[in-house]
Amino acid sequence: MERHQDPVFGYVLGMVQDRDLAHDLFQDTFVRVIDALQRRRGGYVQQGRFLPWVMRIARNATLDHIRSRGRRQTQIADDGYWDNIPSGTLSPDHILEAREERAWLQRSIARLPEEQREVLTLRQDSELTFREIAELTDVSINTALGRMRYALLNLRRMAGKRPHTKKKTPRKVASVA
Amino acid sequence: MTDPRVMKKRYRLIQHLYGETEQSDLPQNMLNDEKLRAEYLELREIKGMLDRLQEHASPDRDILDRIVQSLRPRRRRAVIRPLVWSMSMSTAAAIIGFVVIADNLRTEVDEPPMQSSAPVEISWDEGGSVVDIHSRIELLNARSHTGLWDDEDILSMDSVVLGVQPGLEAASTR
Repeated sequence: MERHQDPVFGYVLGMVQDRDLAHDLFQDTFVRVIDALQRRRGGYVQQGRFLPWVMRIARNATLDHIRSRGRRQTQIADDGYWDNIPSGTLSPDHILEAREERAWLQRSIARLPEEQREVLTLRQDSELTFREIAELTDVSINTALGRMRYALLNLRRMAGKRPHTKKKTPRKVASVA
Repeated sequence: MTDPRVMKKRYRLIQHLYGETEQSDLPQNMLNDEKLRAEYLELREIKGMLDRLQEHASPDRDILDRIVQSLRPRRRRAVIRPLVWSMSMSTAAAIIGFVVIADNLRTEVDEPPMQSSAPVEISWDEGGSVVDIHSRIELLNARSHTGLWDDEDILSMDSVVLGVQPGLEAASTR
């Protein structure tokens, strides 16, 4: 269970973007997992991978919550989620800059349509393959890839509109391989 | 409407970006396409930013302890429930056993004692008369081996076998 807690928590947090709420949903997920394992009902038979099965339970819990609250677009919490991420041994200026960038990224991801945000979170945080994401979300792999593409392009577009955006990656690269 | 073949190539860019293609390099025909090449660079740029900024989030360290805590009352109920069930079953078994034994005892009282075909277990009675009879039989046996018969012995044996006092004759044999 410990091995899978980070991908599951990353997904839930990416979807609701509220650390306290993510903890509640994470807890709810693992209670459901334990229940299912004890009852051996509707659940995990040791044929498939454990993580996608747990992710499906986490997804159901998360979407149930989002839909019960009647909001397709979750609010951005002001509990400083990004502040909890360690910044390493950077100078205060760099820490501040990184914090601003992270806050911007958080807001931008929150503005993505739910389907795009979900695929982005599942791939980036939970490290599920696109095939696994397609199975989890009951869509074709092309649909999952298409959602990811739009998510990345939308973020790129938002970054372009961002004031004081620093272009850290040169546009012309000799080799893209 | 975008050409499906073009869309397929775009999806392939995404897969390549996340290392889900067998080839490590993009095919040359995709690199030669300016639009695809530009899109790939954009996607790679934003992915680089995500990788850099979006570090893996972990839940609180005590989250598993909290989950276990939340499950404890349920487990206690889960333990108590079979215990109550087994106690009920034991009580029911005891009642049934008691009824069966009581019924058997009543049947035994109703039945005549010698009608049972089961072998009768004989236990040694410490009563004085039985001990007395036994000692007499032992005495007779000892004397019969030695051949020392006399009237007293015969009379003693009669009293044992016939249940009469020495010197007396049963009325039925007269």
